[in-house]
Amino acid sequence: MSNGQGNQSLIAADVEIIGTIKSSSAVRIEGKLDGELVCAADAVIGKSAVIKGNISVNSVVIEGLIQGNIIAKDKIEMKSTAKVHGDINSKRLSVEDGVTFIGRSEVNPSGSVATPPAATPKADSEGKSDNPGGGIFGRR
Amino acid sequence: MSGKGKAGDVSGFDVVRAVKHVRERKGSIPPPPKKPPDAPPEHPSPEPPDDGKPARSARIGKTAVPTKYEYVCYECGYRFTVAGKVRTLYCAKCRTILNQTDYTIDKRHDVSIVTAGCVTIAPDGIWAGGSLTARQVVIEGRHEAGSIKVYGKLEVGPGAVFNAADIDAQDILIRAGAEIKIEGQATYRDVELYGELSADLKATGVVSIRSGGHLKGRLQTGHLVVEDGGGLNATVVVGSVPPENSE
Repeated sequence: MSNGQGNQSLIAADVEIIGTIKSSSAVRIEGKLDGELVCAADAVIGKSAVIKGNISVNSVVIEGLIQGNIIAKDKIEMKSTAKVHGDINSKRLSVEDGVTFIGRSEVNPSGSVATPPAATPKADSEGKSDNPGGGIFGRR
Repeated sequence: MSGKGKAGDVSGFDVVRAVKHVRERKGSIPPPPKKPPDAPPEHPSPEPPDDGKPARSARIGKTAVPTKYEYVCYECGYRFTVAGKVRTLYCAKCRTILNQTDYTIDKRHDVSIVTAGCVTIAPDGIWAGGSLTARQVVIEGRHEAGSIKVYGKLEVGPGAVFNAADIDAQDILIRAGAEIKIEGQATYRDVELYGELSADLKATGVVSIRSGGHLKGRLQTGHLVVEDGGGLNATVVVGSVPPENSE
């Protein structure tokens, strides 16, 4: 369903989808998705959206709930109402105060290669870190 | 103004007295018209004709509110705020006269300092021993020995070398260009990153990663703000965490 704003597809709040959504144009999800979202363009996860599955997009604005891993080529933007249980991987990240986020973040705007997150969502708070810190002293 | 205090000192009584003085000064405020309303004016003025109402008196359009500074008494630990700068700072609870001198360490220093002001360890400065207690500490040089207690914000600049285990600070700010590694869990209230920090970080307040800032390691906090351009390579727990993940 198109909402008339360019080529953006809209999944309304009263719609529940079980399966994979693939789109080459922008997507806005306000309903429920039990499955993957693969979008070559930008995606908006609205306030009422509930997604259980991984997301692969160019950039995404998150206002709702996501239980799954997020891979964005360009940017992940978490609004204050966002709840994310899973790992994120992106080049740029923007987070507003008030979000709930449990998972591993791989965001490095300086351009070094980041490791993609695991395929399964990680919702436990005791995730392992491969970077436990460093020496005792700060250094230049 | 009375002229007794410095340029930055503001007293409420002085403001009231100054306004009263301006109002009573001759010539500063045009007097109300005494002629009848229909009499022609002696000197034509560009202002609109007088309609019988009294001329507007001088009034204060804006009020300058002095900056509030938060202090912590290093004797009793009482936290209080003071509006503006004061020459003599008393603790509001125990009435101890607090030293509010700002210090700059630009060479090797091993004598204890206790102040309610700011202590800056310059790039050439070395804190080689003794205890340092201050409201704000800026580290741009080396901290080799001795304990540092910061009631407010600890600022870390590029080139800073310090032993985090010997530093007890409430807030921390990593300046741009600094790359800091902290071993073990680091606990602060507010954390602001303009530079890079590698740590197992636990924050009770807000963690702000500004553009150019980067956090590596682990993060547990209630509030996280990441500006566009900030980096985050960490295992993250942010926000109110339910005991079980609700479906």
